[in-house]
Amino acid sequence: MIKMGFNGIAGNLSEPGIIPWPIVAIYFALASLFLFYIARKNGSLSRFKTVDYVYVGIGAAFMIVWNFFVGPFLDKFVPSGAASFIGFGSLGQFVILLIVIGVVRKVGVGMLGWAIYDILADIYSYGFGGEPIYLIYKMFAFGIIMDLWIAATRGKPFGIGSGKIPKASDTNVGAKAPAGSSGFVSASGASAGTGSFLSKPKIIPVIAGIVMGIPYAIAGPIFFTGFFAPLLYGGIVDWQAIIFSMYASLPSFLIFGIIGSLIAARVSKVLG
Amino acid sequence: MSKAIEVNNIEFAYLGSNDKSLSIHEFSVEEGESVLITGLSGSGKSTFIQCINGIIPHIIDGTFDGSVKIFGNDTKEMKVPEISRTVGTLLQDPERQVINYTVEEEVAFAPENFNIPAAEIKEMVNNAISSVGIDHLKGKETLKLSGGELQRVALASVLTMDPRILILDEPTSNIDPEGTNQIFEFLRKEVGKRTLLVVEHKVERVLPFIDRVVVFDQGRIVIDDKKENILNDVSLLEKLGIEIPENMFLARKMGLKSYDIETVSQYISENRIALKMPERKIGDKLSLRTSGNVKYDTGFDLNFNLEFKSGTITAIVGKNGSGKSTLFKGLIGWLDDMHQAVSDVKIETPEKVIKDNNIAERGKIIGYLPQSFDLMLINRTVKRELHYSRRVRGNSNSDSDIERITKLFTLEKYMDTDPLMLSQGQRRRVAMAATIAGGPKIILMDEPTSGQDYYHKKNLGDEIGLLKQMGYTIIMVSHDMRFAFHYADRMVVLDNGKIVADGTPEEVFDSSEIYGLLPPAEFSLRRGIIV
Amino acid sequence: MYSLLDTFISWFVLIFGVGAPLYVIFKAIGFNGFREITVYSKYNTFLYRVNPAIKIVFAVVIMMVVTTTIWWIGAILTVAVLSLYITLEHGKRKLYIGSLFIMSTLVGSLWGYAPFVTYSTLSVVFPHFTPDVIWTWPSYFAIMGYQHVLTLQALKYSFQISFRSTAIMASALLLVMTNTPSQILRTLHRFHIPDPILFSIMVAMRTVSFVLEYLNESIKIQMMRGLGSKHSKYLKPIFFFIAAMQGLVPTIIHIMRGGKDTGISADTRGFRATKKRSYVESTPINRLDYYMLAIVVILVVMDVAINIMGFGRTIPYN
Repeated sequence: MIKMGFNGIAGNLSEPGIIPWPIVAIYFALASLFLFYIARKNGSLSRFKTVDYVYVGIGAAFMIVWNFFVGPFLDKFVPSGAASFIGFGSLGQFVILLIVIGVVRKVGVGMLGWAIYDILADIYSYGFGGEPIYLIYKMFAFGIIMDLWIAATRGKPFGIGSGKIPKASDTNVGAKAPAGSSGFVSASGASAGTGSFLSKPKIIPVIAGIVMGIPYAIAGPIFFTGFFAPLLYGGIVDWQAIIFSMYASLPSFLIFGIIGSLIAARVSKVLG
Repeated sequence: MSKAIEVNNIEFAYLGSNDKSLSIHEFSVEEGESVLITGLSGSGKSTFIQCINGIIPHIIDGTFDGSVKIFGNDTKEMKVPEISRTVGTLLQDPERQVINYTVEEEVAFAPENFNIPAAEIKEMVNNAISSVGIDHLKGKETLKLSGGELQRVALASVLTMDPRILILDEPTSNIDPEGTNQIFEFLRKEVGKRTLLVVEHKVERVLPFIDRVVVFDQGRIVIDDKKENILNDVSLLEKLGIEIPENMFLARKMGLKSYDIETVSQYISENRIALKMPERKIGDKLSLRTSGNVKYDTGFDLNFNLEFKSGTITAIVGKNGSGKSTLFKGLIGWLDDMHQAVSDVKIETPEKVIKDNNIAERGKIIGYLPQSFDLMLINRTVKRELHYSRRVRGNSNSDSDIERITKLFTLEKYMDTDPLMLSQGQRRRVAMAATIAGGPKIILMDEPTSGQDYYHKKNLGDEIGLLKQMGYTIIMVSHDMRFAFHYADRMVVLDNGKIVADGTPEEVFDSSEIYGLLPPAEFSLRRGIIV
Repeated sequence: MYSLLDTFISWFVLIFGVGAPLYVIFKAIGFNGFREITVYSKYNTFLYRVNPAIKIVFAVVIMMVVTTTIWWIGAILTVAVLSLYITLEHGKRKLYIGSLFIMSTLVGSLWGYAPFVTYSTLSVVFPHFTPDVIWTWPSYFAIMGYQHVLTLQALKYSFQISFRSTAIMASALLLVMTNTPSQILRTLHRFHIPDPILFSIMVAMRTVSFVLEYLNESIKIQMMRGLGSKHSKYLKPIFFFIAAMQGLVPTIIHIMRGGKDTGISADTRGFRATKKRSYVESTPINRLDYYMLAIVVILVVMDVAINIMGFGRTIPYN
């Protein structure tokens, strides 16, 4: 007998192999507390400004377009056998969110970004079925990873913080606003980074891509297949499949993590 | 009169920068006074405005010293929402300000934020809408409005809280002439009712109704004078790169006390002074013949039959919705979308005829510089951007051709730079150079002067002048009548989907007002027409 | 013996499964079509007057019904919801674009599942499973993960999964086409979602339209500049994709450059001035909403009845 549940949530917590819910709850709580602790300790907690909400909204709009237009197009080229290795839909979202966190650079933006996207996706396509479980899943399984990295890097996830703005002129008074504001930035401080692949400005984004890519690849299979799928609709838990998915998706998340982080570093540099 | 704004010893440096972006010793504005603030892009005008409305120091991070007082209250001690009840700010680009879907929702945004009861908000919204004269836009969707209409909606939205100080930061830089006229008309009526700070490059349009002129340069105020005395500052203004109306120059030269067009025109005509017209030259070699018809499902119908000559600059002008953009899209084959329009646009060069909407084929003949030129900067360096077409199409441009184009646009020192990191003016030059480097000899430019100051417009004019000498056919859609007057050889006026005038700017401006296109002062002075 | 004709049909089916959705999405719908079915446009038929909260409830109930009943109920509901598009502004066109979009999703998702479903899954899905073979694939299709044969049960299973999403998608799009973002957000406001988050969603909903417009422009400029012109026109979709990827960063930067002004504009109009925000327009429940609610109730009753009659969902998700 299939359980109807509330709002598409079967509430099945006794599926064979499912991760016990207290473990998931404790992990989410501890990860949040740990995030708060290190962010507070190293002073990277700061209040969101209106413009930050604007940037997150813009990022979410790109994620929607990607998820419903570009991603499915690309996924058609991936043979089903290789689908475990590469899923352009989720990889694209990952890259776009990396760009957003590069621009906002505040603890909480990863979770906020996923929350906004989740609500938006419900409005455009999913019709709020399974909520608020999906919201919790995306914020705490994925968003928190990015926030931990922002906290660990003291608000400089890709090595670029608010502290370095290219010089506009040599005169003391009359320096221009950062690019993206109404003023203009001369090219003098704006090299494209034409050095070797692992030149200094690129090392941190590469590390960031690796550090965020690995847990991203792990979080999906563990949390979704291991807990949320059975909880929501009685999905079958197969730990062999979970372990395989983790390994299979790892290379693509690493590669896209690095590419995404390099793009994010470029965008945050351009926008100042 | 009490002081509306008092500024004392302010200095501001953006976070991470040791250089000060702004340094003002003392500045004040009386209540009800109207002040024009001008200066080159990046001279500190916007930074200064942000100090008045509290964005600095509350929102933008940096080092801020000194004090800004609004009716005696220090902005440092106030929160931005509190300041916003007294200081309203209208920004340059309406598309970036408006966030709501309907006009009423947008205008109600501010009072909703203050949790004002709905009935009261409705009254405030109606008042604001009426004061800007946009009652006819009630119930419309903001996404479907023209730039000028949208800017007036944004203005109404700022006025809902009835601020005592109104800041307009380049309110007409991104909008059409009709919208510009309406904004200035509104400002004219507002004079004396509230304190006005108007940041504007179009000095001649604002001067008639302001009391004072303030000029910024390198973060400092270099001129702060009553408008009556501004003639004394003409040389300095010119040196600073400020767009000075020609009547002002002439008044200064002729020793007139007043610089208004009527006085200067009268003097010119009485003394039979001949003013030189810009040189026009229509090339003799046909470069493009085009004809077509575009039908929108809204009922809009565009019909045209045009010929363009090489070595000629043509400005396509007309009110919003006249069909200018549709004409351009038709020429470049972008109207292939069944959801928008049914189009049949043929283009023909002496060598080739293209009937279908093959973008790549049309791109070999026509280069297109969009208004949002950032969208074409896809490469990591300027060099790669300039070599892009050669790389992907394999056109005939050699290294030396590209080198020549690089020099023409003075981009030599930026070749290894990320194009998106450059200033707006530089990015525009890269986009233009990349378009030329693609090989086409016919260049279409969509509103190339939009959002640019006098200095950058002049650079652009010089560049297209050089291209014209090299035999390029330049076709631009423009709202900027002054720019068209100075640089175009030919003007084509579109009105409601039809070509209603076609000739030299002098010929067109003779009758352009009936199509809502106000001739620039330069033309009026030369024809003795009083505007 | 696998004949030449069989090989041809197999490849045709394979290419159709991948190519048809792509063709529909990019050629027939395009960025502008996609924009048309994701953006509100003013009109005054009954769906525009129904409270957005009721439409959200309607979408949720549609989801409930399709996930708990047999696949053809999902199919009927998809068609029923889509047919409502005819009542919208430019209804015929929206119905056409919506149908294409739903069809591409359906075909894409059907062929994303059907050839790959294993016997073991089908055995769980269909008790006493005896395969009804419809088609036998060439043996080398196994490289792509294809099962050796395509069964009727695999198709049924895939239909079930596909129709699960199409009916929900069609009703969600109905919500965004008939309500302004502010109306939707006012509804969400009742669920105590903080104002900054609602503001962010509003910015996002407005930006979706710009993303499509600017990305489209960037792609076309690249085509004009010669991208893909040296290659066969059959490779155009590949170059379209390359152009979209290359255009992504400048488009993001272009839109984000404007974001700063959006933020300043909101701040200088008192955004976050008070903890509680008022709304000038209210969205009261009117007579039409009760009619719509009645439909929702009928759907729920129908769901229960269908399950009792033995047409409930028999297929688990994996």
